[in-house]
Amino acid sequence: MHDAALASEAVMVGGIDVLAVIAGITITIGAGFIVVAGVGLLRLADVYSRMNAVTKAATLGVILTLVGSFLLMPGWDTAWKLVLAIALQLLSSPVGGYAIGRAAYRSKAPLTDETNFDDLGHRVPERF
Amino acid sequence: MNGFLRLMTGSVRWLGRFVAFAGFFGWELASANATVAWEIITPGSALAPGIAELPLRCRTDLEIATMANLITLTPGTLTVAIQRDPPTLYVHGSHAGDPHTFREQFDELENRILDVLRFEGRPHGPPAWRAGGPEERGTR
Repeated sequence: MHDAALASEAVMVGGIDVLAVIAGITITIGAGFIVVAGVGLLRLADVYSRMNAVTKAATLGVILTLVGSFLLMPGWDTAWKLVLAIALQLLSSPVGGYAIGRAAYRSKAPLTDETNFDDLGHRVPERF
Repeated sequence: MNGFLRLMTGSVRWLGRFVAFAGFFGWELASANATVAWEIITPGSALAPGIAELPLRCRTDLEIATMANLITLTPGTLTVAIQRDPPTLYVHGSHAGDPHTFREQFDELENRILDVLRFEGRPHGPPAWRAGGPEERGTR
């Protein structure tokens, strides 16, 4: 597969490759989300809120980083890898998040004192 | 021929709903991510966590699993338990506030998931959690 047809037509404005700039911005924002997720892991109050930070902010961070890399190497050959990687990320991350959240609740990981209500009420039904 | 025509218009409608769903969820994902990121980087805590019982109109395993996964994928909300019969999710929210407004935010998501997973579209009638009257449900 030759990507020349897609890749060679670099859009130049004032000697700057526009696509590379957009790619750089996208990757930076993506990395920023991952940093924020890491900070959230330390700052947030309990295991459940921390799970939120990691499974989500990190997911968007990974997706933005992947899209940025695609913009640096555009072409069908990278496009299908991009779509596959994003699809796997979107499928696996919530399943893992749910498994950990569920395990945390079942092993009685404490909810922060700020918690307003808990409909589960610390019962762990058999049929989950 | 009539049946074929109905199948075609149904397919086009479904495609429209699929595109609408993709746009809706993409926007939800982005805005909720921004909310969580803002909560993390600004000092202090605006957290108002809670775990709410959320009875569903989803029926099949695929519908329930999709709902649970998309809730978990949305920043700020996390499915911590799933009950099959009757289909119910227990959802942890970092910014849940009170149970009523927290449950409200999943109405549109469930409608749009069923729009896509059912060929005939979303069911008539209100979300399951409204039917029983959330006030009577007795939140612990």
